[in-house]
Amino acid sequence: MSQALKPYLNAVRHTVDAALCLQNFGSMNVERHNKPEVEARTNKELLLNPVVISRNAKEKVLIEGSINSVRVSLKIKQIDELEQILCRRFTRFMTQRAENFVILRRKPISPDYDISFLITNFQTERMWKHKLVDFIIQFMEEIDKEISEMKLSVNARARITAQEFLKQFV
Amino acid sequence: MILLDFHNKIVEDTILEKYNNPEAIEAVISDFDSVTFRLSTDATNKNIMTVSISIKCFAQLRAYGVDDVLKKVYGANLVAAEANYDASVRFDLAQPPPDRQAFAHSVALLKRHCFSAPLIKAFNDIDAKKPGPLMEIRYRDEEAIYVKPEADRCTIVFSILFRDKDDVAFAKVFLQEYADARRSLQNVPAVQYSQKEPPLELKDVRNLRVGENNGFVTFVLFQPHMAAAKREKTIDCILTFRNYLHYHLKCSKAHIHARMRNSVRSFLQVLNRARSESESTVKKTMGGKTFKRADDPQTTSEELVGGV
Repeated sequence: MSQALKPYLNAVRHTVDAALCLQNFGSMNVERHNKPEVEARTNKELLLNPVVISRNAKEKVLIEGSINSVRVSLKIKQIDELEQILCRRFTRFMTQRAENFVILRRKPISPDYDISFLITNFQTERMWKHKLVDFIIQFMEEIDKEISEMKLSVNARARITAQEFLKQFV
Repeated sequence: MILLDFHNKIVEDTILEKYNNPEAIEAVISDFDSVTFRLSTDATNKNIMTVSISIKCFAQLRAYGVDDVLKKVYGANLVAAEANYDASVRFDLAQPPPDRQAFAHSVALLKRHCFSAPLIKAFNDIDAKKPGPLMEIRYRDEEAIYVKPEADRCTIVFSILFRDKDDVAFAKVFLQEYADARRSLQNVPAVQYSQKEPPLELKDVRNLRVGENNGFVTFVLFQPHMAAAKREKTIDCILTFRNYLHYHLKCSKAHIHARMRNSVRSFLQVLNRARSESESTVKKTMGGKTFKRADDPQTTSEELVGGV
């Protein structure tokens, strides 16, 4: 990973690690129900303070914790219109496969963020916690890399087709 | 393949095949820009084959002298157009010309010859040193080509509609590269792109379609491009430009989708590594009853809650 990104990703890693201490907790409002409290938000005492780690105005991570679930929302860096389009398509590709991804939320929390993960205690019991955190960090690195590679490939293709076309006139 | 063909491959292949074994045929083929070809053999004599073309804006082309152009290219083979079609070429399969390949190729270029009429007129005007008026060819429902011959150059403006608004952003990247290609290649036509504002040459045009999804690409051709040696090639390239652009836009979107699918699949693999595969060893008694202890570490909260 690039040196500039390291402190940012380290901060995110440690925060998510700390937030991912989850235990099973049945719903206090409805008998025999078990809801992710970070989504239901009915009881203030079950929610932890949300933390925002931002690299700059355009890139940030929001981590909201609770007793049995954690929500991690990412805002991905998009400089120009082409990157916005690529980012939107990429997140749509992922959210449409949310069933396979278990920890993915089908819609981001607010239009302010691009993608959100929801991790409940049931999932932390089935999966290794350190690997879950690894996945989130790797995802953040990879998506930036993918978007800039796709943008480069579009630019390269544009340049080659333009040159081939115009060469015919010479 | 990066460059598109200028001729219609189906027409060419069908004609060459019919020279080898003539049979009755009646087929309607479509080409770019909602142009249709009709290939048919005469009911009475299946050696006489007719190829007809139907173009939406033929009336406009007629004003620019398309009939003369077609007569010059096809000579005796040009006949009166069939019903519902705009131009027809008829020839005898039993008496093939000396070079069949070239003849089939030239019939397959029928669409290109029709559309080249305004460009040929423009180039002739420039040769004769009298600048002509702006010519409009409305070859698609929402799009048009404008040709303006001037003293020593020819300006061609494409008004292109992008149905998908993402295409507009991709097109901007592509056309920026066209405009920049002048820096590395010499003697190429100048290209400019403007997204919403129509260029100055079109300020007098009525019914100009302007909007969020419309873009205008301006080509400026200079003397070397219009010289007799290069003229035909220039016309070929200009006529297929719009389809070439859209073809590459779609290719690049398809490539991006394939990449995204791959990376999503690799993310899924990484995530699956995080699962701890609990080998649930079901314990059985001698009598066949199975049981699971409540404090068995492999019993997850789900089973305790008795839910999902």
